[in-house]
Amino acid sequence: MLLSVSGLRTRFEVDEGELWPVNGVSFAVAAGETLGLVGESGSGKSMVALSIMDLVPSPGRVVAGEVAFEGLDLLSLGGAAKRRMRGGGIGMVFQDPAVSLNPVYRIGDQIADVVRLHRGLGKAEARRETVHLLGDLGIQEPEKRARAYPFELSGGMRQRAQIAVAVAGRPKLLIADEPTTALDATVQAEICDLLKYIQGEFGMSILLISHDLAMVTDVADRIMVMYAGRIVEIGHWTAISREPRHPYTKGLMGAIPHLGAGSGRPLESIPGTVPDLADLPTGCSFHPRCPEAGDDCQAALPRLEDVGDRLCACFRVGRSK
Amino acid sequence: MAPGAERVRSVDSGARERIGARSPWEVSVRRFRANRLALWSLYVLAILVLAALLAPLLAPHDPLAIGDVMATRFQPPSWAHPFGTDEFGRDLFSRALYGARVSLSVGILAMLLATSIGSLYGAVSGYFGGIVDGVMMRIVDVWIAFPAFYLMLLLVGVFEASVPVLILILALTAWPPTARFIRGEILSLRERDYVEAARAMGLPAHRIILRHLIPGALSPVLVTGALAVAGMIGAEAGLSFLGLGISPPTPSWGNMVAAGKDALASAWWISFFPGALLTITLIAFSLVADGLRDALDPKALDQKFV
Amino acid sequence: MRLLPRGALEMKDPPILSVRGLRKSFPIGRGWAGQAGALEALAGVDLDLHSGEVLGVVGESGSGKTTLGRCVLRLIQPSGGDVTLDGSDFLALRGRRLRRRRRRLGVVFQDPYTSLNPRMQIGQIVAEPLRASGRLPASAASEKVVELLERVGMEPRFMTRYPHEMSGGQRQRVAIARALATDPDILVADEPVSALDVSVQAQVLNLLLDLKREGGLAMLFISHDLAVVERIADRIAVMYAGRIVESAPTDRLISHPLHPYTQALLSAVPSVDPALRPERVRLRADLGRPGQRVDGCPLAGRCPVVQDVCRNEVPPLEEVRSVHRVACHLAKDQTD
Repeated sequence: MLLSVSGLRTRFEVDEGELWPVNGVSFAVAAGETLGLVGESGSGKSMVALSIMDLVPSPGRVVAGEVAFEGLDLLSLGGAAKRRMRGGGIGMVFQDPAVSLNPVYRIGDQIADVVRLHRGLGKAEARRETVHLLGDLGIQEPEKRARAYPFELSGGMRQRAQIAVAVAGRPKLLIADEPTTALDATVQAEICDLLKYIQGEFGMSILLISHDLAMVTDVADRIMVMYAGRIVEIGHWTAISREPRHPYTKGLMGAIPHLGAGSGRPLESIPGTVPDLADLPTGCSFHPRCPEAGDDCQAALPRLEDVGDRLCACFRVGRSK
Repeated sequence: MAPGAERVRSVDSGARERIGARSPWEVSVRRFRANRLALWSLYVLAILVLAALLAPLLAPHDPLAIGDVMATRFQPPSWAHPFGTDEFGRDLFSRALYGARVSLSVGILAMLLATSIGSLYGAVSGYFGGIVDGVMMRIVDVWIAFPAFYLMLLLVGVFEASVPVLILILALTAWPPTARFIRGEILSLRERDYVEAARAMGLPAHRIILRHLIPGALSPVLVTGALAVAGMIGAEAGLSFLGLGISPPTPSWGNMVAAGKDALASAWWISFFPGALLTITLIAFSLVADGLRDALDPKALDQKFV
Repeated sequence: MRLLPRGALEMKDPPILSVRGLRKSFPIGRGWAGQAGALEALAGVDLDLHSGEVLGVVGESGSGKTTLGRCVLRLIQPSGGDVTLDGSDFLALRGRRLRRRRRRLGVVFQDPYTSLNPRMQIGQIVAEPLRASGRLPASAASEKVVELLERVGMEPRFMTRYPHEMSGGQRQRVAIARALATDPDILVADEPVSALDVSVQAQVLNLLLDLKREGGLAMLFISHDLAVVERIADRIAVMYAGRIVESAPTDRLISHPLHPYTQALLSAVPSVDPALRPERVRLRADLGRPGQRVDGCPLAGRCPVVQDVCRNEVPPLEEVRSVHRVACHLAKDQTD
């Protein structure tokens, strides 16, 4: 396993009390695999990525768990080793490239910096590599574009540039947090193709985080679904999308409008709202909204269990026959 | 009733129950109170203001009284004279109390005047835009182009510097930057969705300005106001120090510092206490302004951690 | 349940909203010699909206769909064209008569976090349009607010809450309640569910569907999300570069798109079931600047089936089959 997370817990201390956006999360990413992490706002999915990279903003802190990357314990790394890891071992792409690319440097320079830092190439070589990489990632006229500033590029190109910065150090793992959310539909599709290309061409693993279940189904090999800081279901993408078994996943699938369903048909919605992390229900966090909830759901927390073709945390879901 | 509403009802009852509503103002007050530095600064200022208001009751001696000069002059701080005496034997503690009246009233009243004029001017200019805005802002630009301090010197030279006159002069130099700032705030507020919604639903202009724009602009006004007081007090002190503001025998912290400047080595207390009071006051106002800025930050209402 | 086929209804009743030749240009920058550049956000839009009908306006960023919404609401002044509301010229109205006419329109914006005044209680927010019309005394207004909140599925106790104490979905419901306060004929919704989580999106969409069914409310539903629009709209108009390039009844547009841009858009929507994924129609990269005035079809630079005629002549929006309009030189020749 390239990345192995077990029992990860991150705590925030705020006026209202304690929040646990990551509340006992365990999963693994194999080499060359794309793992999708799906959840709505309040699920903690972005915080998982930040916790792995040790970028949790205050007043938050990772308080428990292990994150093993190629055997190394990331959470106990010292300063220099941690910096080498960021960009060199693990690359990260955020939602809004307008905010995460430095607006006062040309994109070529930003990419070349990473190449020089993590691959040890000289100035001229790094520049060549940069142009090559930009072309590889589908940017037309890469020499010209390398001299551009972020504001001169369209949304889609900026995202490609951000991805270029993230993969320029040839990391083994790319963490992409909502990479397509701010983009138009046609551009989204292109970026999805780009992610699939990167996985194949560079043999990279990808942790793809998004609220868009349909997009993740297109790109990921396996999918895990998060709710209120915990993973509720993990499985192969065909299993999750064709036969969701956790009631929350089922509700999510029903709530997504599919093209071709026709006009005027109401969607299946999940009643209620995502719980306030400071005020979680006892037992299973989903039980107040769950159509299949029973008395046991309020009393105890269901754990992620192997139910045959996937892992699922629900008392109503047992081993498939 | 929309189907699904039944289920929404029963689920929402668990989320975020609170006794009574918490308005954004209450949230801001709480945040301010949690800021120790700002809170203590506010207490310090409150004490100073109270002392200034109660000066006639608190002052042990008449600030202007001159008795046996040779016996009482240049006395260092003691129980009888906590701040010592000056070259005329006057009790400096009493003078400091009365000086607080001058300095604080000039600062606060000048700020109120400048902020009122500036806010109204900026709000009108920002809301109407177009030519109105253009003309109004050009006037402001010209005004700002005059170096404020020289303008003050000029006006002080022409008119007798009494407290009311000084307040007027300081306000006249300070209102244009306020106007510009408020105009900027109004311009950005105008684009907010809830203001557009108000326009779309056909609300008249006066209601939009009063109900939607001004409450939004109040927060930055408070912050700039707090900072402006510090500026005003400093300006008055500076003018009085140069002999252009309030002139002796009426005490003001500025002219008190000036009185002792030639005797710093021998009678340090004459300049020290008014100077220290000025410093404390200015720092306190700045800290309160900082605290207000943090407490009133609208983004603080919607903190997301995931 | 429909007693008449959709097309028949459209041809009989006069539209309650009619837009003809709507244009909007934004001046930008100045050249060396002082010439002013212009960003053409709307390049001539025609559309009709009938009572009780939901028209979905779909487009990506830069298509002009948001500008269209704002021009119809007169939040920005169009550079040219007509907007006819309930038979009279909406653009010519001023002052009190304009404000009165505005009550026929309700508006819902995209961002539930900025569309409600953070310093007002929910009850005051929803009641505000009623105050503007001045017709109801305070007690009656209160009753109306309760009724509106229940209509959008919220309990009356939320009346004293402030927006920041509520979730995005709840706030959007409040925005809808506010929009309905004056019993408008038309609801203009600009990306009303785009900023919401999936499960909440479904709730609010279902709410809008119910409102449409029970109240006969007409809607101008602007969105970039075709799958969402398909659920709620009776007809869809696809916009690109400030123009409508195709408009047709919903089922027809989704199953038989004629314009290459519509085809590309449909093929780009990710589907959960790979079996349903259509062949991707790819557009070439866009090298032009948005809002640039072009000769010929605005898609010419990117169209996979572009011909010479496309580069030289702007294709007009024409009806090629009954109530199915396309602006493409090549569409007329396409067989079903």
